[in-house]
Amino acid sequence: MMKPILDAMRERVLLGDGAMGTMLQDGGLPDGACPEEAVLSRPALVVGVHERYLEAGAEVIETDTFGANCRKLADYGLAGEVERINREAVRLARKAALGKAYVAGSVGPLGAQLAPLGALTFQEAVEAFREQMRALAHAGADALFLETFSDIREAKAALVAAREVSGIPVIAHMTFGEENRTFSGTPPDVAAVVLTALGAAAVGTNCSLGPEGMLPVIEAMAKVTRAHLSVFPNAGLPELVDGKTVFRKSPAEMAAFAERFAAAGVSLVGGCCGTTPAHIRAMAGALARRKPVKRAVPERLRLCSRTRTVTLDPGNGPLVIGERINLSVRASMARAFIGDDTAPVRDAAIAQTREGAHALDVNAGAHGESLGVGAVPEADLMARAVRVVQRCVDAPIVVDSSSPDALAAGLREVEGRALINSVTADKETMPRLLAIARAYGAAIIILPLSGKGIPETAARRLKLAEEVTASALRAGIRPEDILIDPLVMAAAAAQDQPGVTLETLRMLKARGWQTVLGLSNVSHGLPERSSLNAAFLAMAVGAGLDAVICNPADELVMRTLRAARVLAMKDAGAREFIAGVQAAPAAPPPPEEAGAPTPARVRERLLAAILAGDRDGVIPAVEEALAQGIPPIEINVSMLAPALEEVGARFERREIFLPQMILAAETVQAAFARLRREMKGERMPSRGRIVMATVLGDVHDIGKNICCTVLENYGYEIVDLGRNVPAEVIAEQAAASGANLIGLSALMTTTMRQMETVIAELRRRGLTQRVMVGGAVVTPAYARKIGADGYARNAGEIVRLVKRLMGS
Amino acid sequence: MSGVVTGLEISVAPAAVLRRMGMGSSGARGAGEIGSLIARGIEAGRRLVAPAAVCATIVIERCAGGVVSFEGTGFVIRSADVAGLLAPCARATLIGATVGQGLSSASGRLMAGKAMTEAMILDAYGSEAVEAVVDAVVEGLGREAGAAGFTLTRRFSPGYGDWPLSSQPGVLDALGAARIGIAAGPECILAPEKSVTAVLGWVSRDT
Repeated sequence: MMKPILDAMRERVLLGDGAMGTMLQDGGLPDGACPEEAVLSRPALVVGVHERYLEAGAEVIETDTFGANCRKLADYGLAGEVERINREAVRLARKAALGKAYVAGSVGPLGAQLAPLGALTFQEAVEAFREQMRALAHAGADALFLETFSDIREAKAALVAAREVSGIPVIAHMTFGEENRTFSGTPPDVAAVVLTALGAAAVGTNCSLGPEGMLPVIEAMAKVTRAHLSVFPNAGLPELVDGKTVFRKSPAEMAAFAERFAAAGVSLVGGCCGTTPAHIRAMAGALARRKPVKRAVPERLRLCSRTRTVTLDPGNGPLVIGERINLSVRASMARAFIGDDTAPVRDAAIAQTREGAHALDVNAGAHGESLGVGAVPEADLMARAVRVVQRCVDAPIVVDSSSPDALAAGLREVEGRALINSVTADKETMPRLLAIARAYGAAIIILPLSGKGIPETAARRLKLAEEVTASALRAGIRPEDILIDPLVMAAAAAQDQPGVTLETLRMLKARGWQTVLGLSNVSHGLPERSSLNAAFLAMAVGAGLDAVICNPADELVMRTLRAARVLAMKDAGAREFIAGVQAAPAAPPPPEEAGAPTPARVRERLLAAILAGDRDGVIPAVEEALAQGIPPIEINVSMLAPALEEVGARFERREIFLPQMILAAETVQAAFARLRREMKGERMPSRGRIVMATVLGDVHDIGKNICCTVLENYGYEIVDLGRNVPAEVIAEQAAASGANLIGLSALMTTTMRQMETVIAELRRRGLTQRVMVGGAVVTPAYARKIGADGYARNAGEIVRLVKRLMGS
Repeated sequence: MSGVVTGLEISVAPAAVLRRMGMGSSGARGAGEIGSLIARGIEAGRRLVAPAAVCATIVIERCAGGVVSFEGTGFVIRSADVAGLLAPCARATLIGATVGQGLSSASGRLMAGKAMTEAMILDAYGSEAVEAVVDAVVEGLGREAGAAGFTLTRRFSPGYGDWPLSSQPGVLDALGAARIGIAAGPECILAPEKSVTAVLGWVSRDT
């Protein structure tokens, strides 16, 4: 009898198997045949592959079920065979293993994108995974092996399903590409945090990168998860040779990498594409009786968006949670949101992250009926609000509701790891909320509240908080994933209450708990709320506060927080404080609700809309600027042009890419269009005139058109001659228009030769304007060869080139 | 496989569309407004494409001196590059593939309306989609060739190397590409815009 697989992984580094699909093909499975169906039609072939890996030394073998889900099997007309194929696959693997190796049920992605990239809903994905995993688990797999996932939400659906059907361990792998990110942008640390929180016993990576590329992925994961680490690299990067994909890493090289992975803390190593029994044999030699490296991973609260992890460290708190996305108290935001105007929510999300929020609270408890816009279920609003916020910022989400349904709906949408606000001692909802937190891998805020109301003394609050905490721990929530709120009451109602809150906070800290509080309550009903909030925050930070829910637009609060962090030893060397002082404006702008917008705020709003590519949202910002009496030309020169400069700078730093740059240019164009209506015959100042043309013979002009749009928005006057333009016409227009510069585009090798003809024609006529060229097949060398003055690879580069050529 | 190819199913990976737009395949920055535009563009692209392909497998009569002629047709390829590619082959397959006019028309309308971002996304999708059509055809050919004891060479298209674009009308004729609506304009550029022609050779496994 073998010990459970996780026990074995604690004792030694286990060796997995290698590629399955190519081995089946080598064994005679025709190209294009369903590899999973082979368990029914060619069982001996499948068992043979397992046996070859077992002979080579594999201790964990994967079932031939990577694509055995209803969606992928449907491509072969086998959607009804999910259960039979998965059961049979486990049976064959167990038969081969003879009780001497572990059988891991392989589960791959569904082959369909989840919304919003595709049409598949989260729940449909969970159901599809559940069907496959139930069959694998019931047939006796020792573990479920999720592999080659690239969308973190699809992996989340798979883990949610896995926990619903069985308690067997789950090994969860994601696949990383360029820049060590998954296709949907998730870095390894986020993947490790999210998968671990969702209950994966081992996390890791397979496929895509060769072993070299996977080392940094594993190292990044090792820093943030206490789960086992697992890695199944390809035998090198795929290369296409004579139409066939080949992998060049030798068995000896893979064995050397197996050792390096073991040294990095991995406790399960196998192979993916291109790995053969020969590779596995060599790796077995390298790993024989190797003990896993002990890793010390600090227990920290980690929240994630799809692309970023926020960690609460004792040395860096408090975490700032922005409170302004709140449909239950902000009637205008709620009314707009229910009426499908998401701009106020987006604005609040963007502004709060810019102002320093680390995470954003989302409360969608709008009472549509009392707002006169009809009732909408809170769960629907919550799901929509989470989607909207995730679209515009990369801050983790705090789902805020007392309704378990609304929280679950929000958590299904979350692309990273969320915090639940909040769980109370309410006997009815507490078990449900804890189950939801566990199912979706969320951290929780605990409130010491019960049906009997708020405990009056600190000791009673502590007692009640610890009762809820004990239930949470029993439900499997880890202590570092709990924040306790000592409850802030209004000083106006009872002046002793802030003291009780602080006393509770100190008692909680003395017992090692992490704390959070909702700041603004303290000043309710009093004037100068900002001062009271700031003073209370300073006292709470002094008492050890770990996180605060507040309005990050309140400059006094944020300045006080930065100062308090220095005094509480949470800002080593006062570095962030000093940086904050240097970056802060001389006079704090008034809070949002307090008065009229200033030019500085309007400029910021325009910049935010342009950077976000919000072509609709930019118009109200322009209106606001006009309403302040700023002349249209001034808006252009002092607000839109600098915003475009910022866009260009970000493009050059590769923080944004061409599509975002074009979208930003179009956003400026929308702003221009609005300004033109006010200009009454005035003209925008021109930075120069450029003749643009796609040369004779070429009708592909999208690239040139994009360049025209971008240049126009940078203030250049464009004479667009269109496509398929003869050299003579270009030369005539160059002379007639008095252009400063000529831009030529061609897509084909055959048509780019026309560029040379155009330049010759210009020179023949004695025209001296400079010429720039571009297009898919054009190169800098070719540009030089034909006597062009400059070359731009795309519309992103063209602005810089034009500035250079025009000497500005 | 000869004639109009039926039952074509293509799949275009969002990563490929991102790559074509210069965003890398990771999509690291494909969040926010642009991410949702791309998602919508890909959805629209899926609806707008009408994949169609035609192919003709023909026996190579003579392949020498930079000229390839084919048995039973007057069709000739004058290109040292193609002749080099087809030198070890007994036969070759011409392929014509398109995603139809719908996508290009929609992209053109978007450009005319100055919705450049949407036009660019749709255009990138179209480029990937027509490649996917050719890939699907080549995959089918590969199976057929494999069963008959052949492997395929890589594919080569007019306009590349020394095979002039002016060969397009001849290739289209030899294929009967009018059956799927592909034509060449006066400058030999294909319409619909997202169309491709190519040739590849069959190499006997025994050689």
